[in-house]
Amino acid sequence: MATIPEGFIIPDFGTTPPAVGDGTASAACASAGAGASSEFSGPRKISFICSKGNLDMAYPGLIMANAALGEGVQVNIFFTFWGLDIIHKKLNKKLRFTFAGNTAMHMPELGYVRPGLENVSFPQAMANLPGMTRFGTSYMKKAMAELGIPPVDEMVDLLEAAGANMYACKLTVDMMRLIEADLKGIKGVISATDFIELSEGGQIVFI
Amino acid sequence: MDDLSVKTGKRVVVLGAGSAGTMMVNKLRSRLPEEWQVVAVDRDDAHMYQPGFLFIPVGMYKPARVVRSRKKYLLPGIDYVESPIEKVVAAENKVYLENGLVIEYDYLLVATGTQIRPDLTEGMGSGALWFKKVFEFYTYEGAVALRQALQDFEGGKVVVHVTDMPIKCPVAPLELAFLLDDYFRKRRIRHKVDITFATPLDGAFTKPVASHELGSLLDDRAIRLRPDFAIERIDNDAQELVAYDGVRIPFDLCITTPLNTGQDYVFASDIGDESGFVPVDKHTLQSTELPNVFAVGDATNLPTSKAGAVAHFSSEKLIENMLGLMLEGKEPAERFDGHANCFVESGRGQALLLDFNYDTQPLTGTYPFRRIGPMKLLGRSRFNHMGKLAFEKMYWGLLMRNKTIPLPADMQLAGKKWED
Amino acid sequence: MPVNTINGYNFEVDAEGFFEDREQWSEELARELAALIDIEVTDEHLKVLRFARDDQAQTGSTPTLNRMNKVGGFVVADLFSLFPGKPAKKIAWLAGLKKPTSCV
Repeated sequence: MATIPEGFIIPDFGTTPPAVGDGTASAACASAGAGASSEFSGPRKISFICSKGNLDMAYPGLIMANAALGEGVQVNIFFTFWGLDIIHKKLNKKLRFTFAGNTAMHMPELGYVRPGLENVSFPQAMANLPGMTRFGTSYMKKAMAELGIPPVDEMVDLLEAAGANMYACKLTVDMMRLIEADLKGIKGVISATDFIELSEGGQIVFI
Repeated sequence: MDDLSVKTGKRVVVLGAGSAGTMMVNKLRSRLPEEWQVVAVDRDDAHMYQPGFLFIPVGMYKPARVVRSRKKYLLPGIDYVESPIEKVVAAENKVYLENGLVIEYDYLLVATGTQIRPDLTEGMGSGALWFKKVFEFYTYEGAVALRQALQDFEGGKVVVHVTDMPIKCPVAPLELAFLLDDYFRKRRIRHKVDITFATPLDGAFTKPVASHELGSLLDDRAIRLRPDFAIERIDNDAQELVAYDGVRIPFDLCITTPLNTGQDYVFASDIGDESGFVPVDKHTLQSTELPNVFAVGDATNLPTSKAGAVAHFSSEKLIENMLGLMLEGKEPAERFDGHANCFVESGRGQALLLDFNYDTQPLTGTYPFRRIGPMKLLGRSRFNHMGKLAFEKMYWGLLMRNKTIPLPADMQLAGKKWED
Repeated sequence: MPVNTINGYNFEVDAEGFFEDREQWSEELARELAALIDIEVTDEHLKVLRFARDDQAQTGSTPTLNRMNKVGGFVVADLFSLFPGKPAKKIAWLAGLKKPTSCV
C-alpha cells in the first residue's frame, strides 16, 4: 500500500488500520473520524434480532443492518417470532402497517389542511375502522418509496448480496410450522444458543 | 393358435403389447385383409396403465387398479405370443424369442418402449439404499414400494430427481413433487418435509414457456429447484446425491428417475441405436435403415416427449403409412408433426395441459377449441385435473379398444396464444 | 477548507476527506487515491466510478449501493469485492463525490 502523504485527510474506511506515519499524520487521521485512532482489532460486529413482522417494525433492523454492512461491519441477523415474516417468500411482500396501538402516528399531510393537525396523534377509535390498515400500509409504502427505500423483500435480497449472515429461529419455525424452503436468504435455521455463540464479541440490537 | 415357426402367408409382427403396441396391433388387424397374419409378442400378460404409476405412491390409486390383461385388449384374430424377446435379426427378417420360437416376418413394428436402468448410475441400483431410501416409480414394483416408504416417512429431506434425459413422460417427476406437497399436507407433516426437485435441465421443464410456469409453481409449493444437476453417483453412506461438479444433495428419501434406454433385446439386435432406441424418420416413423421395420411410442428415437399421447397421435399417421406400404407398395407419405400433449398434475386437485409439437413449444390458450376450451393450456384448472382422471376411462375404453378419440392428430394452432 | 496534495494533484476536501469539488477529480487522481487504500483500479472499478459520477451529475446526490444495483445494474456482491469493507464510501471518495447520506 502506498503511504499516505503528510497532511492528507482521508475518510475513515474502517477496516484499514490507521496509517503509521509521523506524529502529524496520525493526528490528522485521529481528528478526521472517531474510532480511527483506536487500536485495530478486526472488523466490528453487530447482531440484530428481528422479532416483529409489522411493516414499520421490519424496516429498522434491515436499514441498520444495511448501513452497518456499508460501513464494513460484519452483520448477523436472527429472525425470530413474527420477524420471520420478513424473510418469508410468500409473506414479506405483504407485510402491513397498522395505526392501531400506535399513538405516535401523525400525518404530515394534515398540516397542510390545518396547521397544527400534523402534530395530532391519530385517533385510536378510527384506527380499527375497516380499510384503515390497508390505507396505512399503502401510505407507508409510498412514503418509503419516495425516500428511495426498496420494499422489504428487495431489502432482504440486498442484504443477502451484501453479505449479511441471516438466520431463522428454529423454535419459531417449528412452532409456526413454517416450511424451510419458503424462507429466503438465510444461512440456516438455528437455535437461540447457536445465535448467542455466533454473536460473541459483537453488539446485539433487539428489535 | 397357428404354428408360428413356419410362415405361410404374409405376416406382420408387433413387438410389445403396451399402449403403443396394443393400439397399433388392433388397428392393423382390423384393417388388414384375412390373409395377413398379425402377431403380437410380449413378455407377460400384465398391461399397465402407466399414467397410474404416478398416483400409486401418494395413495390416490390402489396398485391393482393399473394392471389388466394384455390379451383381453387384443382383437380376435391376433396371434399373441407370451415370451421375452432374445433378439431381432433384421438381415434375416426374424425375431428370436427366449422360449425358443423363431418368428419370421414381412413387416416388423417395434413398440417395446423403454426400460429404466438404475444399475447404470453408480450407487443407485446396486447401492445399499436401493428400495430402502432410494426409490423410483416407473415400474409397478417401484411405485408400490415407494407407496409404503412414503407411508412410513415421518419427516426429513425428500429429493425428487431426474438422472438424465430422455426419460419416459418428462413431467412425471415434477408432477410427483407437486403431489408430494399435497400428500404431506394431508398428513399434516408438510413443515417437517423439505422437498427438492433436482434436474439436469436448466429449469423445471425442457421448453421455455412451460419451464417458467412450472418453475414458479414449484416456488409456490415451497419445493426447492436444483437445476443443472448432473448426477455422477449416489453416496450411500452419506445419503447424498453427488454431481460431477462435486455438488452434493443430502436426502432422507430419494425418488429418482433412472436412466432410460430401450429394451435389452434391442442392444442384441441390429435395429437400434447405442441407447437401444430404434432410429426412425421423425415424420413417417419408418426405420431409417430398414424399409420393412417401423417403430412407435417410447421405443423410437423421436425428438419429442416419450409419452402415450405421442404414441396415440403418431399411430394415426403410422397406420396409413404401414398399410400403404404393405398393401400397395406406396412410399410412406403421412407426416407426423411431433404432436404431444400431456396433463401435468399440479396438485391441489388441479392440472395443467401442455400441447406442443416438433416446432412449437407449449403455449397458453385453450384446448381443443379456440376460446371455448374447455381445457386451459398451461393454466391450472380443476377441469384439466378431471380430464386427467377421465383419461383412464378413455384409455381402456377407447384407445385400447380400437376406437378413436375425437381429437385431431396434428397440432392445431387455433386457440393458442403467441407471445414473444 | 483543507487541501489534499498527492503527487502534484491538489484537491479541496471536507473535514472527513471527501471531495468538495467534483471537477478537481480525474481518473489518474483516482488511481493515486486507490493506491492509498490498497485498491488497484481496473476497468471494472472505472465502470463503477463513472456510473457514480454520471448519476451524481443527474440527481445531485451520491448514489447508494441500492441505486447502483437498481439503476446501474451492478451486482451488490461485486461492489463489495471491488471495494472491500465500505463500498459506498470508497466509491464516493474515489469518484470525487461527497459522502453518501441516504440510508439505503
